[in-house]
Amino acid sequence: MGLPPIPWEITLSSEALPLSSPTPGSPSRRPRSPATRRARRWLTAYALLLPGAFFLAFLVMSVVMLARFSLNGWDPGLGMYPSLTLSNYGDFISDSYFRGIFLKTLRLALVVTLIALVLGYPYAYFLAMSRGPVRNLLLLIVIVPLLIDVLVRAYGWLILLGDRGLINQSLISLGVRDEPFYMLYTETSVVIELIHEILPFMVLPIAAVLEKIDPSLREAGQNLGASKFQTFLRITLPMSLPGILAGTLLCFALSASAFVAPLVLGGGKVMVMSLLIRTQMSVLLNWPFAAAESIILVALTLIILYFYIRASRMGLNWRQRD
Amino acid sequence: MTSRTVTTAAAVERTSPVRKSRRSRLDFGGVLLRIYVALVGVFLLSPIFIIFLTSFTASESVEFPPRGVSLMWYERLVDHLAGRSGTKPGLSNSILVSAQIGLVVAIIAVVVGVLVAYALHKYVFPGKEVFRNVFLLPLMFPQLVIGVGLLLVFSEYRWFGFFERLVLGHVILTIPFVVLTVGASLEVYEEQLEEAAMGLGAGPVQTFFLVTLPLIRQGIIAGAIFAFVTSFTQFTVTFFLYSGATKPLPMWVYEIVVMSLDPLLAVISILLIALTVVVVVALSKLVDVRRLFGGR
Repeated sequence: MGLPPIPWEITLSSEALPLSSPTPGSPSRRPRSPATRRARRWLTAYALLLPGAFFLAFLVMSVVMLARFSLNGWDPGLGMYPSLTLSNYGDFISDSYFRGIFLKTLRLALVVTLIALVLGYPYAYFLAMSRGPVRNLLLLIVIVPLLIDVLVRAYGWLILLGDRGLINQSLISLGVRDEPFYMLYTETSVVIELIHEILPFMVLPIAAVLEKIDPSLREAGQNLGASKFQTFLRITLPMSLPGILAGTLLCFALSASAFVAPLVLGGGKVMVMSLLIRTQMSVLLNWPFAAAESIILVALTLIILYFYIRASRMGLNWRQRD
Repeated sequence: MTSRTVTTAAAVERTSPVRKSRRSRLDFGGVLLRIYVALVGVFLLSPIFIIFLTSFTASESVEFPPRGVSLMWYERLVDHLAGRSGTKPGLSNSILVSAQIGLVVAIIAVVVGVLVAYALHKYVFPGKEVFRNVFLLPLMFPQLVIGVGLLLVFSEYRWFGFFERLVLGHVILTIPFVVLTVGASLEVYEEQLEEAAMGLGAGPVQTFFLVTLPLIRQGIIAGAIFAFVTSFTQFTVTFFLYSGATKPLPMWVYEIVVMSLDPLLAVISILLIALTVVVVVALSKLVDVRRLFGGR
C-alpha cells in the first residue's frame, strides 16, 4: 500500500530485525533517511485526521459565518444588508438591557457552578474512597442523568416544581404553606435544572483526581497525628485542586451557554444569552445581532476552555509527579 | 477488564488497613458525609423517580395525588405508535427518523473517530496538541452556537437535505466521544501484539485491520453507543436544523412539552430512560467511563 514504516519498528531489537527486514525487490520497503521517514509519518497522521477535519471544517465555517454576519447591518423594514460595521457589538455593549442579560448569564452560571461544587465535592470524595457495589451504584447515579435526554430531565423538573407539582402539593397538604411557591418559570427553577444538568461534570473530574492521590500520603498524615479532617484539609483538598479547577471551569462554560433549561423551565421569562440569541434569530429575524451575540458567547467559552485545558494539564503533571 | 480488576484489588489492598483501625471509633463525620452523599444522590435521581410515578397515573393530566394507578398511558402510547385516530400524529415517524439519524451518525462518527484517535495515539507530528484540542472542542463548544452557525451556513449555501444536515451536526458533536473512548482503549492495549504481527510479515494496513481494530473493539463499541444515544436525544443543535418533514423525536416531545404536562411524555421518558440505563450498564462493562471525563 506504500504506507510508511510505523515508528515502533525502530524499537525492535536487533534479533527481531531480520524478520521485519524488507522483502528483496520491494521498492516501498527500501531503507530511507530518517528525515524522509519522519515526513512520511507526518503525512500519514494528517491523512488519518482528514475525514475528521472535514466535519470539523463545518464547525469552523459556522463560526466564520457568524463572525461575518455579525458585521452586517440590519433594518427592521429591509432586513439584513451587507456591511462591515462593528455597530452590533457596540449596541450590545452600550445598551443596558443587553449588558444586563450578559451579566445575568454570568451570575446564574456562577451561582450554579458554586452550588454544584458544594454538592459535588463530597459526592466525588465519597465516590473516590468507596469501592465495590457502593462505588458502582454512586457512579451509575451520576452517569445516568448525564446520558438521559435533556428534555426528559426538564419534563421531570416541570412536574416536580410546578405550582400544582409534587413539592407544592406536598407542602400544602402538610399544612406548611397555604399557597404554592411559584418556582416554575423563575430563576429558581432554571438554576435547579442547571445544577442537575452539570453536576456530573463537576463530580467526575474531581473524583478522577482524588482517585489518583496516593493513599500513603493520607496514611502518613494520620500516622503523624493529624485528625481525619486535618488530613483532608492539608493533604487531600490541596491535591485535588486541579480537579476542582477543571470541574468548575467546565461547569461554568456549560451553564453559561445552556439552552434547554432557560427555554423549558424558564418558559422564556428568564432571559439569558442563549435565549436572547434564539429570540433574535427565530422571532425578530435580526440575524446580524444574533450572530454578534453568538460570537460573544463563543469568545467567553473559548477563554474558559483555555484555562480548562491548562487546569487539566496541571492535573496531569501532578499525577506524573506522584 | 484486566485493568479494572487490578485497580479494584489495589484499592482494597491500600484502604483496608486504615479503615479497620478507624472503624472502632464512632465516626461522626463519616455518618454526616454518608447522609449528604445520599441526599445528593436523591437530588440526581428525583426527576427520574417522579417521571416513573407519573407514568402510572390514572389521571387525565399530571396531578398530585393522582386518581389512582393504571397502565392507561402505556396503552395510549401503543395507540400513538399505531397511529390510531384521536392521537397526536407523527410519533412513530419521529422515532424512525431519530433512529435512522442515530445509526448513520454512529457509523460515521466511529469511522472518523477511530482514525483520529489512532493518529493522535500512534504518531508524533507538528500541531498534534492543537488537533487533539480541536477534536475535543465540540464537547465544550456552545451547542446553541453550533446550531445557529450551521443554520446560517445552510441558509447561505443550500447544501444537503434536512436529514444530512442533522447527521452532519450530530457527527460534529459525537466525534469527541469516539476519540475519547477509542483513545482510552488504545492506551491500555498491548502494542507488542502489533509488533508481533509486523514481525511475522503483516503489512501496516493488515496489522491495523486484523490486530489493532479487534484489540480496541470495546472502545469502538462504547463510542458507537455513545454516539447513537447522543444523536437520538440531541436537542439544541437539532432545534435549529430540523424541518416538519424530518422531525426527530426530541422535537416531537418538545412540541408537546411546551403545551402541557401530558403524562404520555412520562411513558415515552420511561422508555428513553430504560434505554439509557441499558446503555450505561453496557458501557461500564466496556470502558472505564470516568476516564472519558476525568483524564485527558
